[in-house]
This record gives sequence, C-alpha cells and structure tokens, in this order.
Amino acid sequence: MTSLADTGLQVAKRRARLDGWTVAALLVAALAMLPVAVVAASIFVPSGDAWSHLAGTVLVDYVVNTLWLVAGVAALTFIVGVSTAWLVTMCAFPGRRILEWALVLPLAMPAYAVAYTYAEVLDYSGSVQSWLRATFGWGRGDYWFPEVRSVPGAVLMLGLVLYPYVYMLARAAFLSQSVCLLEISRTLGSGPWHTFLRVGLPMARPAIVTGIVLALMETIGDYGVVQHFSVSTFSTGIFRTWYGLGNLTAATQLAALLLGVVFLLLAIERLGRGGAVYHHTTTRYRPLPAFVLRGARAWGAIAACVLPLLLGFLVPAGLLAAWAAQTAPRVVDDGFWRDALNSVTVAALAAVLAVAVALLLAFAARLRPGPVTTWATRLSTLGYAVPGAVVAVGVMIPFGWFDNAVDSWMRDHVGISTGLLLSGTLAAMLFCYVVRFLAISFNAVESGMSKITPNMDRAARALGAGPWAALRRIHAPLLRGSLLTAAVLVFVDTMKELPATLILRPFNFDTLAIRTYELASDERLADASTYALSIVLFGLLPVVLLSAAIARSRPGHS
Amino acid sequence: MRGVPLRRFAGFAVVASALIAAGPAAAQGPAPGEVNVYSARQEALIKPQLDAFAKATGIRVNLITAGEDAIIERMRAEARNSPADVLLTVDVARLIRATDAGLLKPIRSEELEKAIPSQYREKDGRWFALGLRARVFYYNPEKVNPAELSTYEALADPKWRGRVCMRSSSATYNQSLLASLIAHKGAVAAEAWARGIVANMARPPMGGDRDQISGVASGQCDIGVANTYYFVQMQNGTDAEKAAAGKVKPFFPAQPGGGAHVNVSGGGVATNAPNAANAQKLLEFLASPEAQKIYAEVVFEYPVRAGVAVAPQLQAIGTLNPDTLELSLLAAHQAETIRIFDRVGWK
Amino acid sequence: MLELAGVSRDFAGMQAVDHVDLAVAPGEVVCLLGPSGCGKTTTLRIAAGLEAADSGEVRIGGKVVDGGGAFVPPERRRVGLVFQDYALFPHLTVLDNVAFGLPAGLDRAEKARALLSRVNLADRATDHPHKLSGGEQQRVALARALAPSPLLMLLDEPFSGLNFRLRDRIGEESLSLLRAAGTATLMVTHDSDEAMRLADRIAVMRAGRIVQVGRPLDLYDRPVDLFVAEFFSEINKIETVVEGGVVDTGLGKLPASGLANGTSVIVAIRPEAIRPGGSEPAQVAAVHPMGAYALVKLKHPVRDIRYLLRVEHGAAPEFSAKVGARVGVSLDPRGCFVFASEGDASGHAAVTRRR
Repeated sequence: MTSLADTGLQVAKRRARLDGWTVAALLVAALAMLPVAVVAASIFVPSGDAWSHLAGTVLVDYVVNTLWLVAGVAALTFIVGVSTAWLVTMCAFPGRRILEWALVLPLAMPAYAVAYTYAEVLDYSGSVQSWLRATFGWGRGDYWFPEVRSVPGAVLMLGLVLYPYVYMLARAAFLSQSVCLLEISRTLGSGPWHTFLRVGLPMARPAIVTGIVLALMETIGDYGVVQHFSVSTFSTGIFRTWYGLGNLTAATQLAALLLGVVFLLLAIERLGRGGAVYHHTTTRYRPLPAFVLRGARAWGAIAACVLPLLLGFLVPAGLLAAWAAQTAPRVVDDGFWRDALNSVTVAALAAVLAVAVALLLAFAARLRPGPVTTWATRLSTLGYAVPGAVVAVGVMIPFGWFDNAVDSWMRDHVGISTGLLLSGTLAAMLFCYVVRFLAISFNAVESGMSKITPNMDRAARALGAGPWAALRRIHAPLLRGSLLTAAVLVFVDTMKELPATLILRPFNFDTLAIRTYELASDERLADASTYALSIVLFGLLPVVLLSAAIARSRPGHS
Repeated sequence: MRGVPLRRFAGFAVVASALIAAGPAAAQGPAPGEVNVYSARQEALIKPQLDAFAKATGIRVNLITAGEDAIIERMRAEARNSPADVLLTVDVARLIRATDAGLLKPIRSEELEKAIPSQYREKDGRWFALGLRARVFYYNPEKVNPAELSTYEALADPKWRGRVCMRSSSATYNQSLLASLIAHKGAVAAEAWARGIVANMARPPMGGDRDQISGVASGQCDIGVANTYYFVQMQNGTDAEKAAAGKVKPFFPAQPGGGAHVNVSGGGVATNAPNAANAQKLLEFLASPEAQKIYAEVVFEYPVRAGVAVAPQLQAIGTLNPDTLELSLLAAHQAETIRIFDRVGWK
Repeated sequence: MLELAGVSRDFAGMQAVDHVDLAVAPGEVVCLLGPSGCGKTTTLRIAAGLEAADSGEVRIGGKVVDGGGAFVPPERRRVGLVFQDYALFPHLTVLDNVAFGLPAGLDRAEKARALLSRVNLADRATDHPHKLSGGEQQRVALARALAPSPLLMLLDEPFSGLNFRLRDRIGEESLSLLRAAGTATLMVTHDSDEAMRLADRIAVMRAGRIVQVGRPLDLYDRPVDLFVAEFFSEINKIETVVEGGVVDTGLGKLPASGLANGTSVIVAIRPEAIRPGGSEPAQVAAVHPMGAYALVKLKHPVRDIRYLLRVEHGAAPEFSAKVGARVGVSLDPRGCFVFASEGDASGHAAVTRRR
C-alpha cells in the first residue's frame, strides 16, 4: 500500500515539474529576493574610485571588526543560550519554572535601547564611573575601567538580546530529544556531562546552528548598536559610504559583499552537516528526568540563568523605567496611544504576512523538494542580514520605478495619472518587513514542518485531500505552535524595527520606535526611555505567551 | 492630489487609510489644500513651526521625517510622482546634494530674498537657509586658561595631546567643520590638522555632541567640540545635564579670516511638488519673524533673518561671529573630508 | 551476576516494583515477562541505574550498585542496554555508534569494526542509522551495547520492532552471541512465545511483583496461578465447586487435592489437553481451520460449557465434518490445573494459589 502511494506521488512529481506550487513559491521567493537582488546588482555598476579608497584605508577595519563581532556574538549566544536551555530543561533547581519563560524576555529589548542605557551608565561620565571617582578620589588615568563603547561592548549588548534565539531553539530541541538516547549513552559509560557533549549537544546542533545564524544575521545587519558605540563595521561602513561619501552605489556594493559572506556561512554549515539526518530515530518519550541540583550546584545553575536575564533585561528595563518615571509626564502626549496602536497594528500585520509567506515557501519546498525550491527559499531569507535602511532602498527603487512606469503608461494610453501606487504606502512598508524578517518566520515554520512525517501527507492524499486541503487540514493545525512562534518573533522584531519604517512610512505615520529614535537622535535619551520602555512592554506579552507555548510543545505532553 | 485616491486602494488599503486617517485631524475643506513635507529634522524640532503655519494659513501639513540621505533617495525613487513639496534638512551639503540631483526647483520670492541674506540662500532660489548652528569649544575652566584658546587650527597643537574630546567623523557636523578647513587652508593643511586632532584625542571618538560636553565636565578630557544648541539644551535639561553644563565654559573659536564655523538648516521646494504654491508659502512662513522666533527659542538655532533676536539663553553663552565662507564650499569638499578622516584614522 | 533483593520502587503512590527478588547468572538469559504496566521495564531501569530503588539492594558482579546508601550511576555499572526502538545516535555513523562506548585509543575503530563483523554489518560501517533496515538497526544496537564488554546486558523489548520472521532469527542470533560472551542477560518482553523460545529462565511479573520464576517448561507445566497459566496459551476456564475431593470439568473429573469440599474453583485446561477420541461426549459448535491445525469449539451436550481444542490437520475428520456433530474426547490431566477462586464471580482476575 505504501509503495503504491509512493509511486503515485512520484509519478505526479515527475509529470509536474513546473506546476502551480513551484511557480507560486518561485514567484513569492523572487518577490522577497527583489530588494536584496537590487542591492546585489549594484556590483555591476561602476562606483568610481570609492573602492580603492576603502581598500586603502578602512576596509580592513570593517572586516576585522565585523568578524570579531560575529565571532563574539556567536560564542556568547552559544554559551548563554545552550547552557541556560540545558539547565532549565534537564535540571531541577529552585526558580527553574520562572526562569524557563523569563529567559526569553531580552528578546523584547531593542538592542539599541540596551546599548543606550549601558553607555549612559558605564561611560566615563556615567554614574558608575563618576561614583567610583568621587568615592576613591580617582582622576583620569588613575584606574582601569572596561570601555563599553568598544567591540567587546557591542558583542555583549548584541549577545544579551540575541541569545534568546539560541535559547528558544535549543530548548525546543532538547525538549523533543528522546531520553532513550541519553540513557543509552549513560549505560555506555558517559557521565551526564559527557552525554551532554556527545549526544545532547550534537543532536540539537541543527537547532542551535539555526539560532546562532539568526543571531548573526541580525548582528551583521545591526546599525543601532555599532553606530552608538562608534564601532566601525560593515554596517556603519555602508552608511558612512552612502551618507559621507555620497556614494550609494559603493555603499550597496559593500552590502552585497556582506551578503556574499553570509551566504558562504550558510553554505559551509550545510556542508558541515554532511550525511547526518536528524530525524528522530526513536519515538518513545518519557517524562524528562531532571537532574536534581542541590547546594552549590543549584546556586550555580541559578546564577547562570539569572545573569543573562539580569543583564539583558532587568537592568536595562529597570534603568529605562527609572528614567521614564522622571520624563514620562513631559514626553507622553496625545500621540502616544496612536503611535502605540500603529506599532502594534503594523507588527501584527507583518507577523501574519511573514508567517503566511513562510508557510507557502516551506510547504512548496516540502511538496516539490529539489535544488530549485531549496535555493529559492534560502536566497529569499537573506534580507535579515542586510541593514534595514539598505533593504528599504532596495524596496524604494523598484517600487518607485514600477509606480512611475505604470503612471507613464496610463498617461500615454488612458489619459489618467495613477501616481504612486505602492511607494509611500503601508503596503511597501509591510513588504519590507516581510523581506527583512522572512528568515525568522521561515526557520520556525520549516523546523516545525520537518517534524511532520511525510506519511501524514501521503495518508491525507490517499484520503482524497489535495495539497491545499492537506495544508489547511493537516499541516496548519499540526504547525500551530511553530506558526505562533514565527508570528511572535516577527511581531517583536517589527515592533523594534526602525530604519525601514523611518524611510518608507506614509505621511504623519509614527510608531513607538520612531519616537524613540527621534528623541534619541536629538540626544535626549532620558526622554526617549518612555517610548523605548513601551516597545518592550508591548512586545513582552506575546513573548511570554510564546514561552509558555514552547513549554507545552514537548511531544506527549498533555 | 494626483493619484491619491487610487493609491489608497493599493495593497492594504483599508488598514492603510484607517491608519493614515488617524493622523492629525484635518477638518479643512479643499480650498487651502495641503503641503507635504519631507524633513530630515526631527519632528519635535520642526512641528511647532509647521503647526503655526497650519494655524496661520489653514493649509494642512503632512510630514514624514527620516535621515537626510534616505529621504533624498526616497524622493529620487518616487521621481516625478513624488508627493514631496518641501525638503527640509539640517546640513547645507545635503541641500546641495539634493539640488545637484535635480530634486529642488528654483523659486523666485521677494519675501524670501528680503528675509534671508544672500550668503544663506542659493542664488537661483533652489534652497534657503532657515537657521544657523555654530560648532564651538567647551573647556574645563580648572584645566584650561581661555587665553590659550584661539582657532580650530590651534586645537591640533601638540600641547593638547590626550586632552581633546571629539565625536565620530561620521557626524555631519565634523565633516562640515573639516570641509570648512579644506576651503580655508587647502586639503593638505586640513589633513595635517585632522591628524593632529586624532593625536590629541583623550579617547577614541564616540558619542553625540552632548557626550563631548559631558566628557569635559567629568574630567575625561579638557576640551571638547559641540554645537551650541546642545549646550543650551543641556543647561535646560535633566539634573545631570545641568550639572555637567555648569562645569564647562563655551568658547567661540575663529576660522582664519573669519568667525566660528557655521552650518545651516534649511529647505527648498521639490522639483515635482504637487502643491508648489503652498510649498513656497511654507518656506516664506518659515523665514517670517514669527517662525524665526520659534527657531530661536525652541531649537536654539541662530535665526537667519536679520532683526529676529537670538534666544537669550544662547546669547548668554557668547556672541556669534559667523565664518563668512561660502556655504556651497562645505558641500563641495564633503566627500573629501571622509577620505581624509579615513586616512588619518579618525573613526 | 545481577542480583535484585527486595527491590521496590513507587511512583506517586503507585507501587511500580514491589519487593522483587531476582538473580541472573553469567551466560544466562532471563526474561521478565508480563503485561504492560506490570513494572518489568522499571525493574530493568533500576538494574541499569536509570532509576533508583526506593528500598532493597541491587548487586552487579557481587558489588552493591544500589541500596544501603550507595548508588553507582549507569555509566559505571558495566551494563549494556538495548531499547525496543534501538535509539541509535542519528548524528553518528554506524561505526561511531558502535565505538561510542569504547575507550579512546588506537584500536577503538578496530574493535568496533570487529563487533560489526560479528553482527555481519561490516559493510555498513560508514552509513548513518536512518539508511539501515530495522533488523540491521537492531544488530547495530546490540553491537554497540556489547562493545564495552558489559557484565550485564539489559534488553527492553529488543525484538518487538521486527517483523515476525526476522524476530525469530535475530533473537536467536543475538542471544547466542550473548551466551557465547558469557554475559548475563535480562530481557523484558510481553511476548510469551518469545520468552518461551529464548529464555533460560522466565520471571513472570504482575502488578510490580514477581509471581513465578522458573524454566520455561516448568512455568508452562506447573503455573502457580491462573494468571501464569493464562499467559502462555489460550486456556479453557471452567468455574465449579469441589465435591467429594474432585472437580467436574464436564469432560471428566479431576482430583482437587488439598482443596476442601465446597471450595469455588476455576479449572484451567490447555486446549491441547483435550484430545479427540475418548468417552466424554461433546458437540461441535464451530470450526476454524488454521492450516496445520483447526481450532474447534465444542459444546457440552447438557451443561452450558464451551471448550476450545486443537485438532491436527487430517486427524479426526469427524471434528471438522459439520457443526452439531457429536464427538468423543478425553482429558490429559497434565494440562489441567485447579485453582481456588476467591469468591469473585468474574473468576479469573481474583484467582489465587493452587492447593
């Protein structure tokens, strides 16, 4: 019976090379790739002597700093994300239930807000160093204090808000791991620690790598933190070349180079996986046995979990709240609730769209596996590694061209002007969000999809359900958790998103992130804190919901 | 108004229009119309002037703000269908960049020509300065004798080694300052100066303008460079800012043969402005005594219009003797400044 | 090699393992047999060190590994473990799976390869587990568990994932390998045929307790209670009462030695103990041909009793001629057991000790 069904599907596959699904997926992927392609296409445009100047002066700095940043954030998110995920999933210690969901909270913190607050406090003129000087009578050069505005500082800021990606994915992977494998390893002579290193960790590798890749893409695309910390990276270099040298072409070429590096990273990780398949080889689950930690070990576990939460959320949110308490009455005006509504609305719309597109791509890739769909989906998620403003330019240029071409044609042939159909609309903005955050939603949806056995599809087909019906009746309900995860992540990221919103928004359209930026860029950080804090608060609720959903995601959990 | 009804139906028309309509309430009929402003100046710093304009004329003002280069790029992409009527920036180089890209059109206005001195507007009327900002020194009176201070050039002297707080060269204000030095002394001398400043830095360049003043106040350095309005805002800011501002003294340095370095904020009318007449009205209003007073008192810029008083708080820190350099030269040398900064390692 | 003495374990108030005593000698295969939920897997996990006993003592190789305050973690017990689904490490090749438990060293790969040869899988060394068939995966799991030369091998339903043809062959091959290595083997199963075929001794478990331990045929021929009797074959159950020192099965009388007159009993009769040909009359109620034999249901001519028996193909054609035919049978007392019931009308659940 199985073989009959298989043969049937294979015949269908062979016959329909370019059927509706493939075409739809390719179209959507092409659309999502458009802004990135516009950026990448810049390498064919002459950009004067900008390159020889860059190569002779700052390019090495950009490369070196970016590499340090990437290496540092990779290491930090790996260590923090994986160790906390392992501790709360596999060990029992006081406070674990709370930490389980609290550890994702830094996700709601905009990286730039964390950077502002720490710089404000830890700078030479900040309260900490001022207090030290006042207390000990030190002056300039009398003492050493770590410089927060530095590459390590930027690594710390980004690592603190991005480790939740690794934490969430690693935790989901640990939760879905069969205990049998860990037990077998124990009986084969590996203690708990070696079992973690030899079995638990490698089994979770795809999830962990996905988490780190997401964190790194966001790191590479970050402008807020590195700009505030005056760290020269590819990202700051892009804007310096654009704004300062006035050479947008050379700037997008830098971005294209960056894309090449990201792409290379992705390819290397794929090669590294080799022939290993991470399907679960066992389907038996039993309640996870918690290693009960007591005494010093319990305190160690608590410290390891509380520290990232403290530094990544409680301290910056606390500082923001303290400043907001002073300035809120002055800066909160009638527009506050309108801006909040705008933020929440566009974030929700972007979340729904990004998830829908991700679902379409992931399903098409499942339905028609092959190099075409694989590469199409990979390429369409690259937008996450490109600074938002550059993606926005990649949206503006083709949309403007399209609008003007339509307008000209209509004027010539119909005699009416259609003006700008897309440029300057919410549609353009939402499109940009989808391009930017598709990587997040796609990864979440794809990993959920991979856990559904293909037999489920075959059974549905045998029962007379077409692909659409199968997607609607089988995959969508089974994927509910993954879809929710994807939606929440995109929602939170859109809430925090700034540069694309700033450039693409319609008239008189403000969001909380824009208000934060406007005040911060006028160097009124205390005033900006109210808005920054409200971004955090509005992002918090879905994040907490998400965390609860992950806890329920364990197979067999009722 | 072209294309607007159709545009509303594009994509997420329902939500879009709901959200757009949630903007400033506009009860006016079609008669006074509207004017669309693309502003590189933050909303809080331009809104008072625009509100006053709307109140005075009944013309509805639509606003978006964004980074200067991004907003210029948006106008360029939207091309002839761009809704932009007026472009406002806070850097003359960007005004000239927009002019060179053909995004601003010449307008003849007696009103503007009368109000704004000729060195502060483009000769064909493509752009007009509306406010002046000066970049000056702030020093620690306990460590620095004001008699030691003179020109920007002198700050590169080795005696300031390890004593200077500077902002990143990515800041427009520093690019503009170096451009003025190139214009005055030539590229070679300017590069030597930049090299000297890098050698004199107390710490790598970082932070905003206020951070340079805070750096001096906290003792990290003895002298810093920042725009005047930030200092005045700090004097009126949080307790910590007030305390910091109280510990430093401003000094207005001079360029050779001129006064303190000034940049301008200003604007022009978009080439494809759908509401060109209203756009001109807005510029004229922004140059009017009423709006110039707002520039002076809300933003703490120096008004361009003769006869409008400098804000008392700003006047209190010193009298501006602006550099008389032709503003277009700041734009002409701007790209060169980045190359110099990159070469001398001024981050 | 393995000794469990008075081992108990409860989960949330439920006694999963209740004072279990059991020993497994080197080279011996002992099957823990019982229905699901009887505590056999928990017993195995306690032996492995994956669970701790609440009370009692576990000794492996004469050394106490659990009990009296001592607890040796699984990695230091020298036990091998094979799960029903094999639990091969999906991220490792077949060879690396087998080498997992071997100490690092130059001959590590060599040893792993030698083990793979012993299970005839030398040519699959570089494959990943998902490429293997079920039988191959089972053999890899066994080779992996054997690699560190465990003193004790623990098998948790190791053959139930295989189809029935493979099951026999692989089961026998695996256990002969273990016997040859002199490994003590404790195997958990719910399949009485498998236990009967593979075990040296069987321990039948029920509700956390070991009900009976013995060689397979001892258990078959001398079950201590109806539960054990029923576990190894279908069985005819006849409720009756002891009268005059005997019980009447309807197909003849059996001695009820040790049971007082008037005691309610259940008589358990294995189908093969009812033999075609004899003086006891019965009537054919249904016939199910099974190929080599036919399952025949008989009806007592008067009383409301039904009997199941097997009739070999070709033998006693009158039994399969037609429903309603009158036939004669005899009873073989060696396949008949009399158990006192505890006054429970439903019979089999509350049956206790024989005699």
